[in-house]
Amino acid sequence: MKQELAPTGTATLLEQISDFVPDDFINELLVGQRRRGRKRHWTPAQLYRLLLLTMLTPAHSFNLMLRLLQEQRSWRKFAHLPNRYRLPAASQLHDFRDLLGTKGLRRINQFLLEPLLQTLSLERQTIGLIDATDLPAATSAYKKS
Amino acid sequence: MWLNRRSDQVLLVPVVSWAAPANRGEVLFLWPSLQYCAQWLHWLPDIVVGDMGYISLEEQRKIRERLGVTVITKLRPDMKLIAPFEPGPVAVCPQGQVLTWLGLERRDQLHWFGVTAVDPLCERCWEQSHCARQFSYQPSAHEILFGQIPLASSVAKILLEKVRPWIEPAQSYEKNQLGLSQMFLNNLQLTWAVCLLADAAVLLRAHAMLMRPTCLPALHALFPNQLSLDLD
Repeated sequence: MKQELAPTGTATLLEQISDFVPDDFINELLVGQRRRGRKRHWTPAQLYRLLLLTMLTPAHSFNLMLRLLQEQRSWRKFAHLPNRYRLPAASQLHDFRDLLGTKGLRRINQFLLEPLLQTLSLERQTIGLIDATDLPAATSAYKKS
Repeated sequence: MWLNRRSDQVLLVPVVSWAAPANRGEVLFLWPSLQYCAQWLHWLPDIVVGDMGYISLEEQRKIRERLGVTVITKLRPDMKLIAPFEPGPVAVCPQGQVLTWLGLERRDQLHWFGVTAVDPLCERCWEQSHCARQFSYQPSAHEILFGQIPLASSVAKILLEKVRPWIEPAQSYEKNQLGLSQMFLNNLQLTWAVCLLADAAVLLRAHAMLMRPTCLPALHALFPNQLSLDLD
């Protein structure tokens, strides 16, 4: 089914893709990885959705996104955070990112990718493209050789 | 990867991403990427198209022999052509007649080139009495020029000239619209995380474009919706 997508950064796009975030898989992925300390108020899926918001909204910074979250209803709706006064802190998001790690993020992407691989037409050859691109980093080490 | 199910639009999705310091060469990541696909996704692309940064004849040979994946890259300017190729690259016979790639004989591992021109030079060639007008070459003779799909074939030319540039807007989307290039990246771990999050965003968009949601809540149909006030 072809569906026109709203531009990136809009609340409509958040609504369009919200149903595809694998909440159950993310929650199960981190079962048993709970750290000691206070009880967690947020599910892994909620926190993952918050991480995604830094990509899908114009707030391309974790701190800025959390600061704007209170006044952005559509963002809170996407992250399943109904209460505008009770929101995760930056440190909680940071801890979650550490807990999830590269491995966890890769597992989620793999979960999202698998159904797409199944849609590949078997009659046609599959084509992969490989390329590198530069990202500006706040470090002067590791210059291009 | 190009999702080839759709013919009305080109849809690329990220399969494997690596975040590495700039002093690491791109050629290091081709083999691990394919290994990741085989090990974790149980899937491999038939063809991988890369730019000149991915040229390593040894690596390409290993990929062809062990994984059966075709790697297509342009020839680096400092690399020399070997027979039967002339600049272009175009395959020609010893007397100069242009040859067309007929295919790879997998069992014998031989590429076959032949004369398919309407008015070939063969009629006037002094060798025509003992020429079969078909020539075979081993893929291992030169991994870029031959490989599994020779660089002189129309398939390789289309892939390099028309398909490869598609990756530029895909990268631009992640960098500019998803904001990867605007983020403050001061360590590799954070860079990994945001790159993988950007990939996830692209994958979610692809899902939204291609499929209906499969995991709607049981009472989704009963959820309240805002009514539109039609005043006409």
